[in-house]
Amino acid sequence: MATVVVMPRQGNTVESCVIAQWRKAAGDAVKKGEPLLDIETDKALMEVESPADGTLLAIFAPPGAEVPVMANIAVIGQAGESVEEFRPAGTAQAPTSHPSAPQTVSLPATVPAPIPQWNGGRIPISPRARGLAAEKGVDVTALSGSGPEGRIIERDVQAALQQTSPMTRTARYLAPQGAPLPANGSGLGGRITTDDLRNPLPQEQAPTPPQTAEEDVRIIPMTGVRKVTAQRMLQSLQTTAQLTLNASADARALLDYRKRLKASPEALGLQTITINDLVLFAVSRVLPEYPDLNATLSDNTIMQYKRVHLGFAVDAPRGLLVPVIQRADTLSLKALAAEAKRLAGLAAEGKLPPDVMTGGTFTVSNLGSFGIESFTPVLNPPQVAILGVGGVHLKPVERDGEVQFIPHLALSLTIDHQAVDGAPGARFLQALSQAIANFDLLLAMGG
Amino acid sequence: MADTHDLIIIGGGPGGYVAAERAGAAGKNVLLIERAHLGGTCLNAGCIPTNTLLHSAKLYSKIQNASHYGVHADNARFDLAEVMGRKRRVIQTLRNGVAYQMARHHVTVRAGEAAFVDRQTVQIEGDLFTAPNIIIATGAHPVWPDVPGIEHAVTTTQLLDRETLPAEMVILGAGPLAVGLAAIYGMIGVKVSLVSPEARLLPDHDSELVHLLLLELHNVTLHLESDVQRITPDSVTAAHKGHQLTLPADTIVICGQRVPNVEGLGLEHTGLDYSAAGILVDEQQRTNLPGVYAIGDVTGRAMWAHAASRMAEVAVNHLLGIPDRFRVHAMPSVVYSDPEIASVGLTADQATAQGFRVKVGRLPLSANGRWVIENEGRRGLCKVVVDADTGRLLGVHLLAPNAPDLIFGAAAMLEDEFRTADLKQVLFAHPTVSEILKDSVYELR
Repeated sequence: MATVVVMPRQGNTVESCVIAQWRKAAGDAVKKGEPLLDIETDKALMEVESPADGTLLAIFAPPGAEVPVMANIAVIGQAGESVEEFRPAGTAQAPTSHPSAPQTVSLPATVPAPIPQWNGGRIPISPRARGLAAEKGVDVTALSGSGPEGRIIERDVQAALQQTSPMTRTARYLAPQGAPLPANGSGLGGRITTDDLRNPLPQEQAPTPPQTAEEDVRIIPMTGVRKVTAQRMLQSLQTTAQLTLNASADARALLDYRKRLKASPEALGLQTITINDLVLFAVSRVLPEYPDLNATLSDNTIMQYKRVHLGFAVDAPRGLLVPVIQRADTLSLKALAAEAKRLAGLAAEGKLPPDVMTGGTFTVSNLGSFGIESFTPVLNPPQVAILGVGGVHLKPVERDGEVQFIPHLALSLTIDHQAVDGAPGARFLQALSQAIANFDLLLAMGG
Repeated sequence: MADTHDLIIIGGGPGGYVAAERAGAAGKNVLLIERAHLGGTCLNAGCIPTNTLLHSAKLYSKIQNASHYGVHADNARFDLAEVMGRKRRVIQTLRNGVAYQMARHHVTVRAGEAAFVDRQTVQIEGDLFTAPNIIIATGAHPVWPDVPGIEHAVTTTQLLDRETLPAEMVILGAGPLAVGLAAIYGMIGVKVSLVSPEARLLPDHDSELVHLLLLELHNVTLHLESDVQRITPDSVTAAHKGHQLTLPADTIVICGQRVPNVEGLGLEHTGLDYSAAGILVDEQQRTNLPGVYAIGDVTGRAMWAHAASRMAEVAVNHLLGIPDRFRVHAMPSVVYSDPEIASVGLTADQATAQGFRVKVGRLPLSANGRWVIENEGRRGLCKVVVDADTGRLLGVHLLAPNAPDLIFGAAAMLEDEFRTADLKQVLFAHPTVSEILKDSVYELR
């Protein structure tokens, strides 16, 4: 019996994913567990494994297509089997009725996603299409969707963007079918006029990059994580009032404790706890006392959180990812370190579920391993604070008339001055520095 | 230390004040400099005062002809002094309106003569003002012909301040304003002669419409291809094809060429590309200097108030980063007289000269119900010019009362390059004079 492959569900908030690439072609033999295709959400790229052994009989969605979760995307079975009953509506051939229920393989979840309906003003549109349309100012109500059930997908918005300027009535009448049209017109509201058809306007002068020989330059379109990062960072700097406070914490207790962890019996599972884990732990314990900083700001509303959902920046192969440790304030150091390790591992493999990257209330970004002395972390909106952690450096400290060189950990706190003033930010940073300096005492507070 | 603004506009006419209004509305900090009165030539010495007089003259003429409509009103009297008083009130009302718009959009208005110090700085009586963008909107002034005795002539501005009725008037000119003044003074009983070296009256308009308009004017005689040789306090002598012609006149009005106001602005300090014929601009009203724009009559092109206002919008849009361009092909040309001419686009002759295969739909207004009701014994005509190959509307020409009020519809159609098939789908209210436009399309030959 044929096995249908569906677009896997990615938690509760993702309505659709884009097919990044097929690793197999129709007709190829596939083994269960073998990578079949890559899919992309606006946050991550993921691999989808083949749910069965057999032959990849049909692919219903080409690379680039945005497909609602739980929709059929391919069929695996024995050569010669019919696939028509699985073909989704709106793709190449008309669907037939379902004579026998296919064996649906559900990946993380089992409930089929509801297909969006045109109900009282709600336009069926994918989140990516909606985002692109909002960004480019495309009127989505004027688009007709080419996705399943007439859903507007990213491709439809892109097609609308590529359309040339509006045309005057005579220009529309005269324009040859299918012939290329001038990109812009000289008429009313930029309309292409009959004159423009004869003598196209020179292209609007766009800033052109310096001329470089083709082999000297690599052209990389902004997609996936890079594009999302670009949007988020720009949005962060454009929509928040960022203020960075710098301090450093006496790192002796932290370094001593880390030494003891490394020396601990392997069976305890504490040897792999890193300095960063210790900092995350310290943050998770200090933050609940400073609700101003464990907060988000959106729509002129500040929301302070009781629990600490702690994001931490990971330098993944596909770019910057920020997984979130849920309820970090309730986890023991060991549990927190293990969760951080698990999430960082998933990020490195590109398998981080998108839901794990949302819902953070505070973020830590650690560049200490690069020997960075201090930096200005960029806020991760709607969060109102982010902690940057630098390297450990010796700092001269005068004590009893003597100067000692004491290792210090560099800390930089960026706050959104819209929501938090400098003094509460400074108080938190001071408390965090003291907690780190007295890390052993902090442990006594448990959690 | 110079006073800094986002935009400085020199000249408060229909170019300058519209630019100030639009830029102010967009949140720019604008300085508008005007040496005389807000509103410029149009409001103070052009369209507004002449149309005020024209309205009174039309009313007087209508009353005299009221008996055609079964209404008898004897002893109608035209009091020029009272009309001039009303004209002053109208001007003041509209000046106040412009001043209100400036205040409403937080435009700083400064009286005085501006002169460029450099391309971002102007000075007024020693005060320096600077802005990254400057719009030059200084307008134009009439040319005094080099003729013996020209000192006996007056400008239209001076004429519009006179409260005593002339008996015989010579107007030196053949353009829309000359025809308009001839119509006004003719209607109130002044014998008017139009004298011009030009071969045609209103050369930009359809010649048949112009001919019919001339037949409609009262007390107006026309002397074309006539060069003025001598002016005395009570006569004008002109040469026409070898003959001498002396016209008696107690009032002689200069109403010919107007030239851009480019002198006295310190433009020579700026490297601006300009000549006596005007400041050179592109379709975005940009001059050769970055940040410096010129709009309206000072560009020497399209010397109409409505063109100046449109150029103002184009310049402001450009400096706001909004794509726009000044297009001249659908700019209305109007003659305020009785009846009025309004044209947009090409005449049949112009279209043929441009290589179009032309069809013309010609329909006298006697075919229009509304016009017949209101225009006993008058003449009116509509002509639509169409490209025979595509059906595209190329021009609309209308001789009718209030034609300038109707022409915007045709301008919109020309902007969108309507074809006759499109025009035929438009609904026109009945009975209105505007219906003549649609009906003319069915007369294409």
